[in-house]
Amino acid sequence: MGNANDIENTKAQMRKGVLEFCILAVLSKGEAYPSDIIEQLKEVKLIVVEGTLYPLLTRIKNEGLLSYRWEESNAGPPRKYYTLTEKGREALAELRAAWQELVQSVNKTTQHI
Amino acid sequence: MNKTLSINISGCIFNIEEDAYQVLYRYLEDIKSYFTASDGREEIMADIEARIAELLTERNAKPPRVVMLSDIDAVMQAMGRPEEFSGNEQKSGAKQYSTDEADTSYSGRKRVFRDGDDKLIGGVCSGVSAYFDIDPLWLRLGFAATFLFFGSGLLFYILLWIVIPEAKTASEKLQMKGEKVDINNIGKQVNEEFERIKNRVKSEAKEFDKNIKPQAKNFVQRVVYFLEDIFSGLFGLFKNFFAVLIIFIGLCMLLALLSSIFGYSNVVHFNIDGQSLSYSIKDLMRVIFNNDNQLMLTAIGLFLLIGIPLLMLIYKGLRVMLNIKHKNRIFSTVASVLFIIGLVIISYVSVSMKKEFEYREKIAEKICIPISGNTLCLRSETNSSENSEEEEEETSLVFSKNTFVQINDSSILLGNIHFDVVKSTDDSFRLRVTRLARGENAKQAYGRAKQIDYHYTLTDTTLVLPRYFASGSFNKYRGQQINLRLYVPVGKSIFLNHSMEPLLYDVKNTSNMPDDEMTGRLWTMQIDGLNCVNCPPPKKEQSRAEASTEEDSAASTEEY
Repeated sequence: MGNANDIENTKAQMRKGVLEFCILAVLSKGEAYPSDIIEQLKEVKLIVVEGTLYPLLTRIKNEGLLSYRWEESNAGPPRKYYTLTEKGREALAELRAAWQELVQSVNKTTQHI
Repeated sequence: MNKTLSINISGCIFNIEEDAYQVLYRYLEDIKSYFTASDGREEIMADIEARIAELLTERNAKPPRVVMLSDIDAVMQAMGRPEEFSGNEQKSGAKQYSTDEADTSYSGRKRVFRDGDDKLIGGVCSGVSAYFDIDPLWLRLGFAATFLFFGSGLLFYILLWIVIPEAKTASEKLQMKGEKVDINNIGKQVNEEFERIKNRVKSEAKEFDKNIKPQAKNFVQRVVYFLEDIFSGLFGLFKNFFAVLIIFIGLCMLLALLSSIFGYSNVVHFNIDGQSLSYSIKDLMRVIFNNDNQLMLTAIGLFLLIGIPLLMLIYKGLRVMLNIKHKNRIFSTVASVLFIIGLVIISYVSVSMKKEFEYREKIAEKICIPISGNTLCLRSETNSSENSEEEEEETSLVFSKNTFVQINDSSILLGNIHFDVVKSTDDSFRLRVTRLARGENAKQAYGRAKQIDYHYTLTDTTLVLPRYFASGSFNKYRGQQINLRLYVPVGKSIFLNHSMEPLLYDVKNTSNMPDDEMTGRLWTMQIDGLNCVNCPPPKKEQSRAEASTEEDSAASTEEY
């Protein structure tokens, strides 16, 4: 019965839940600046609008999971290159474990469909 | 043709068309306002601006190097609306949201309007009940009930009618029926207010840090704004409380005024000999004023003089409480004019009444009191009925010895009788009765004095003086008064019964005893004045004195 809006909202909530995990995962491959991250996440349709990323990055960084350095760009403004901190790696490992657990639980619950 | 502007985004210079600039500017402001309270707003803004600069740079790689509306649209498409950010970013978004809500609910707060669509008289009841979210029926019944109380409810209704504007536009009608205002919401509003102040303080402090160095000139200004914000917030909290208090006090006083002037509620009470008498202001005024016209005029004058300021007080209170901004100049003008009319009426009545009291005349007669013994007993009586001496002391006399007691159509009873004692020149008791009255002229005053009806009685050795005298066929108070002077020969005595106390008026005696202590004692006239025979110690001597007077009277009857 739930209308399209509700379902959209639920989907957005699902994406939102794993977004932080995915950002950390992207950065675990090496340092990146926001546009890189956006590109990767957009490819897999994890984010719809780019604006979503910035508040999230700021928050994760303020929690101490990320650090960044400035780098001049030959075209356009200077870029912020983000890297995972030690704390960030720990958080990523924890989230990965939690994710696997969650996937198993969800699969178990929904396998009969 | 389109004007272009040169802007700097994140250190990159862009030429941008004016309309595109307007859209971009508004978009950035939107985002910025969205993150006001969230931590790291500046950083988020910088990041977003950097990204926008990047996107614009990509799009402007080839000429013409001008940012156009289509470019901004594409950027906004990619970045998304601020609401969409929050859809995916719960934490800061939620926090942000609550403060935003507080802001909007504050500015779009519910207001009182008269409901023109649902009205019996002026739509006051339906409007007010919409404000408090109750059934207008109860309010209407309440008002109908108060109409019966000297019309005070009617007055209040008219006042509300004047104060509260009618909801005319759609938005006003919505505001009228908006979020209900009950105790919970008022509490919520108070909290929100605090929250608002707190946030203001926070963000203000942040701005402060940021701007303190480059903009030292603005420092003082900032402090002033900052304090203004806090004080206006706190003022808002207490304002309503005081407004309610003022309205309540004003209404009580107005009701009291109306009921005492126009109603029949008793404001003066007498308790005479266990008999209780009460009079309203109207009764008392009837005794003074010549006719009902004058009486009515005074009532109206008093109402205008006292009632109008009270109404203005209530009006101000209502305006503050109901957050009414629009001014009603006609109302305050009419109120001022009415107040001045009241002043003129009262002045006129005062002057004309003063004339009524201009002249004073007196009629005196001196009569011999023939008694055989040496002691004259004095007592006072209220009526022909038996008086009880104990209760006389408790009589509550509002105007002291100047009391009106019994008022009927033909005559009034007055209590201002002054009694004193002096030395007689010969060897017999004498009483001088002086009747006084005032009037517009001497003749009138004399006539009124003559009408005063005062009869004392002498039984054996006891002189009974009535406590009150009748004004005669003239039933208005015009300064009528009785002065009684008792002449006592040297060597003879008088006994003052307790009932004489209200009549005594500065009776001279050798021990300089005040009037209220002189009763219940035996006094002998000597060369130097009245001398207390048996004063110290008072209690014991008093009973003996009474015994002796009884003996005296017994002796005198025997002699007869």
